[in-house]
Amino acid sequence: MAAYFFSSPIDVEIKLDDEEARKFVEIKGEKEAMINCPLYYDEESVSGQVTVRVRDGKKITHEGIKVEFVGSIELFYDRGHHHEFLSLSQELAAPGELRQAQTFDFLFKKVEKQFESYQGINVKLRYFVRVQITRRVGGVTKERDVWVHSYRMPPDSNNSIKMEVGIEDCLHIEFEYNKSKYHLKDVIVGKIYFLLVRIKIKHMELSIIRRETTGSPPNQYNESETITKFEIMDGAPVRGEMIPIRLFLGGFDLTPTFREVNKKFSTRYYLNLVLIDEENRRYFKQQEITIFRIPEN
Amino acid sequence: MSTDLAPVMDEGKLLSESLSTVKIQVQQMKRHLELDQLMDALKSASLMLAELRTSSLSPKQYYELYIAVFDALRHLSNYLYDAHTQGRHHLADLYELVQYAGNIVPRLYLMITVGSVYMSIPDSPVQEIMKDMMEMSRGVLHPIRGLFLRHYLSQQTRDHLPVGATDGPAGNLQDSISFVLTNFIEMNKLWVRLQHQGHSRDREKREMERRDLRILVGTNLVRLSQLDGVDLDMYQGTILPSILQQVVSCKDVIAQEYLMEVVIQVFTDEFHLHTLGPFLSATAQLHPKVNIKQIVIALIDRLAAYAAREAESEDPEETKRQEEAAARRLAEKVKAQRTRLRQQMNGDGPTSPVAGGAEWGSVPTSPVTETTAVVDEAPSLNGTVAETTAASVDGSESEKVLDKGKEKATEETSVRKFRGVPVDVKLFEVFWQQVVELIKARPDLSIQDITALLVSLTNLSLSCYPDRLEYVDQVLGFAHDKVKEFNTSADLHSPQTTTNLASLLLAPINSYQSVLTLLALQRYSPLLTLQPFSTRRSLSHALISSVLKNETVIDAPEDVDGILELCHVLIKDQTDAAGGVLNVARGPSSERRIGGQMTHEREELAEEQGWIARMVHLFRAESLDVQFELLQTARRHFETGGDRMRFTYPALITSAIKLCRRYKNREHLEEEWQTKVSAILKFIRQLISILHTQVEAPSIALRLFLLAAQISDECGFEDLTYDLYVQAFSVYEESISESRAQLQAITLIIGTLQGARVFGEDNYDTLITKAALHGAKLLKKPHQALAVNLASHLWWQEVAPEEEVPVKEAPEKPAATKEDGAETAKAYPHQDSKRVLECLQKALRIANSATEEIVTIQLYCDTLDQYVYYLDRGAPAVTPKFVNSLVELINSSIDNISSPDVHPSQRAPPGLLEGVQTPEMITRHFRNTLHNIQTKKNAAGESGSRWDDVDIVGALLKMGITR
Repeated sequence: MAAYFFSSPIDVEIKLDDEEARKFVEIKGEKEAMINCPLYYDEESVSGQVTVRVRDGKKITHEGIKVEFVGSIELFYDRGHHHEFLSLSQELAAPGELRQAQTFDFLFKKVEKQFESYQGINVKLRYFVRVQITRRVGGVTKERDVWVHSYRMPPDSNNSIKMEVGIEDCLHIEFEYNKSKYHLKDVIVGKIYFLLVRIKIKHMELSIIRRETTGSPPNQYNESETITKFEIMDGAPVRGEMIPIRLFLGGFDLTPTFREVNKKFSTRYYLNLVLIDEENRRYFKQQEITIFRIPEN
Repeated sequence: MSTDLAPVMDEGKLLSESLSTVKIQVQQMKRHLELDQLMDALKSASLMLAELRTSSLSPKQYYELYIAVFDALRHLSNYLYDAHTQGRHHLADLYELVQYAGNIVPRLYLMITVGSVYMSIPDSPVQEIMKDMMEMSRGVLHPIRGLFLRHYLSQQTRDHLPVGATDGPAGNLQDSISFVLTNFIEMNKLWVRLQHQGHSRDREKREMERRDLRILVGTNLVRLSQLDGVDLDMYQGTILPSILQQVVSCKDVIAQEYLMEVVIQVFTDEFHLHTLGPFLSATAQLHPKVNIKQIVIALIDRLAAYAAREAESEDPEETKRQEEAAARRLAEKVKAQRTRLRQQMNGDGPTSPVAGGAEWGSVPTSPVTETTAVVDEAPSLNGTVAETTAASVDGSESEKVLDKGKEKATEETSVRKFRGVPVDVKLFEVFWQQVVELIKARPDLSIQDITALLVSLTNLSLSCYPDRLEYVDQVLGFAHDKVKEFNTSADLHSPQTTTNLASLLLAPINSYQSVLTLLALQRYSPLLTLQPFSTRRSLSHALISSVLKNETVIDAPEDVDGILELCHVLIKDQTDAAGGVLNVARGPSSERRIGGQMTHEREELAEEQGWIARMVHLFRAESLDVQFELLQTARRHFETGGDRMRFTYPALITSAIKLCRRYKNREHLEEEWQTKVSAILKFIRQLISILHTQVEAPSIALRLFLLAAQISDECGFEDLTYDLYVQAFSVYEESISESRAQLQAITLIIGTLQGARVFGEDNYDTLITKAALHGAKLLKKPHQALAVNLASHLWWQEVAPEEEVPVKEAPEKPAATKEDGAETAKAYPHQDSKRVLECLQKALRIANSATEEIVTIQLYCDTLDQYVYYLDRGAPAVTPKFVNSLVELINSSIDNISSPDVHPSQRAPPGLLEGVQTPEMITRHFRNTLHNIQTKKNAAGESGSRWDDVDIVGALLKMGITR
């Protein structure tokens, strides 16, 4: 990108194979601009063409052209420092001269993409194709972002979450979520039993919280983000009441749960059950759920 | 006050704000829908629905808001249906989509909107949708919001509830039933919960709010009753137990009262008939503050009304047959019962009614065991009844018109029914047990409630079992005991209790065709006597009007006795009467002073006594002896009545006179009719004397004496007749003082005497002389003249043409027969023209002495008529010359009265002076008389009769009459 600013004499275009046929993921780029990224899966080859054009028909000398496939984690509080956990490189052209537009094919075969792309509050995990034209003065670099999804095998054990919680002589409830692990289009089904109610509850809601943890102690940053607040009860329950829960996840912008990605960050999801009483006091209980991706369709 | 008003104002503002938000969002939604932007439309709908989340509106205002939203959601529903059928959006997807709404209230409204549209689509998973919507609705626990939400659920799904019988995703009737039931139970819970919110000082307000909302809960029961294909089995097995269980367990007074009432009203009578046991035992378990009697009464009334309706709508012939059978059974029972009573009476005197009660036999002694027996019995019956009714009942859908299909049922069912009630459902017994139990179990039940219950029981028994007298008697006996038990309680005299007892006693009167049936109810009159004056009075009114309306002929002395005993209050002065009748009793002179209210009471008295008098005429027996007995019995009652005799005796007397006539008509058939008749006449004489002396009713007494004299005359009792005339005269002399009344009396006496035929010369002469004398001694001259004119007829008895003229000596010799045996020589027809002439002359003299000439002329004219009459009749002493001269006389002075120069004061305006006519009238009268004479003359022709000597040519000329 920097190339534009220097009004580089070379235009580089990266074209990926079957780009039109791929799904695109729209992500937020810099300055609110939206970038469409083609979607790749783990173990998938990344191939395409790089076209280099010379402006105004000038002759340009370079010291080599290479294409790289990079996976990097960018921590925002640590700007500038990109941790590249994956970097594959291929030489497209030996040092020489460029007189006219030239197209190079490239292919990264069955690249292992260990992590999913992720864009969080403090952290971004991205994959991109980078073309570098090395010159003595005014080298040209061009990056092209791609988005990566990876499926994990559905977990073997998927117990329901069931728990009795309460405040002594005040409120006892038992809640139950049908699973502890949900896929992205899953639906949370559950219920809440009121075993003892001595406070005047106004309503009850279930929220999904995404917690992003970056860095490692002592320089650890935690960011919590409420994905949705979902009211599940209106009015005061009495003892013995059973309130149903059904929450479709498909409509929310969720990612799978990430744990200790490259020891750099984690993104976890919690279900937060909140009861609000008439004086607006909040009683809550958080419960972690695991979210995973399954193949679509 | 101010704290109270402020929130109301605020609420008003809040409501209008909410409404305007709704309006805006509805506009938006409609626009989006037109453009097919469903997501945006849903968003608007959701925003609109968010208004329903408010907690600050009163139920009424919330309802207003709800209605606004409801209307708006209809657009959405229509769109959704079209979009689905045209394949634009699948409802299953939308059902999921709307569940992303973050707030539960809008979410559920949207879910229900989508879900119910989905239910209307063929092959949709109705069962699942229903379950899901019902389940998810649990999330709204706020009473008002929850009630309205569930109401919306019920409203939207109403038309799509499955009614099939097959299992499967489309759902079946069972699903629908449990759907509605669950909704009902949950709504009721919410409704009850509303009571327990907020401050306790707002309790009344909250109760009012709850009453506003109750219809929402009740609608569910209506839905249940409207579900097609619900049969007795389902009702008995599922629906009713669930409802009752919920009602009982909610322990809320308002809810229990309301819901029981709704159950009674919405489900068919058929169902109720077979579920009395469970229903009533649930009733017994209700909250102590619940007005149980209201519930039981409502049920009883409903079934009673059903029976009555059923009786009307049944096949007329069938009904007739049944009714006749019932009437026959009833009559037999009445007869049996009354003979028993009679025997008792004759035997060891009146036994106490309580002891007598045992005779009905079926009086429950141990209600507890019998109750269970009856309840147990019920299910076993259903096997047969249910199946047969099930087929026919499903036609009845509407909540009000439940009886359509029932007629069919009546015909189809194998179980015999009377008035729609299967014979094997012991309706009354079940109720009786339950009510007795209830009263026993709830000592706090006030006498008002008890009596109200009993009224209903009576109505039930009367409409369902018209022939089971013992049921009614049982109830009456129970009421009697209870009244005694509560003797010291102030409640006994509360208006409610009184009214109840009154209607309790009134019901049999109105129900039975003949009030005589009442006499068979042993415990009727004991209870009646315990009632306060006003009740007894109104009941007597009812009783008598029933007699009069149905024209019940009362033909046994005991019946007369019984009926009059029941109407005791109208016949005798009552010790507890509120002052009224006693004071009024004393003659017409005192009443003026007492004033308006008294007059009013007098009028009332006159009216009710008039009824009794009318009833007297219904005391009719085939046998003449019995008839007399009836009258004597009646008299025994009436003679204690004081001033009432004024009204009752005349009826009695005329009735007796009628009896005399009947004797006379059958004189050849009845043995010793003469002694009997004379006994009756003496009876009559006594009565009239009493009427005369005790209640000071001289003019009626006089008339009745004359009437009696007439009949006695007809029957040929000379002495008795004489005596009656004497009585009449003495009444006249002693008590009639007003001059007009005197004139009338004299006229009557003369009229009657003129027709007398039984007398010997002596007696007759005495009487007629007396009469003439009295006539001549009237105060006013015109009266005298009139009376003397009339008296002249006493000497000229005529034999009616159809009568056979008795063999007679020469009519012109009245003196000759004088000395003959008075017994044998009858005066009739007495004719003495000399005396006649004397009378007429005297009348003329009197007329002449009148002060005003116009009166004189008028009287002349009147007398002229008499002359003409006698001339026509051929009275020898009355000769044409009298006529001629009288005509002359009138002719000469008739101008004076009409001439204008008479002083105005002389010319009395018509009507102002009594009995004085206008000159024109007199002139016309005269002219007519002349006409008459002329006609007679012409008719007589030239046969040389007396008319020839009448010469009125001058007068004719003067009056301008041509021949």
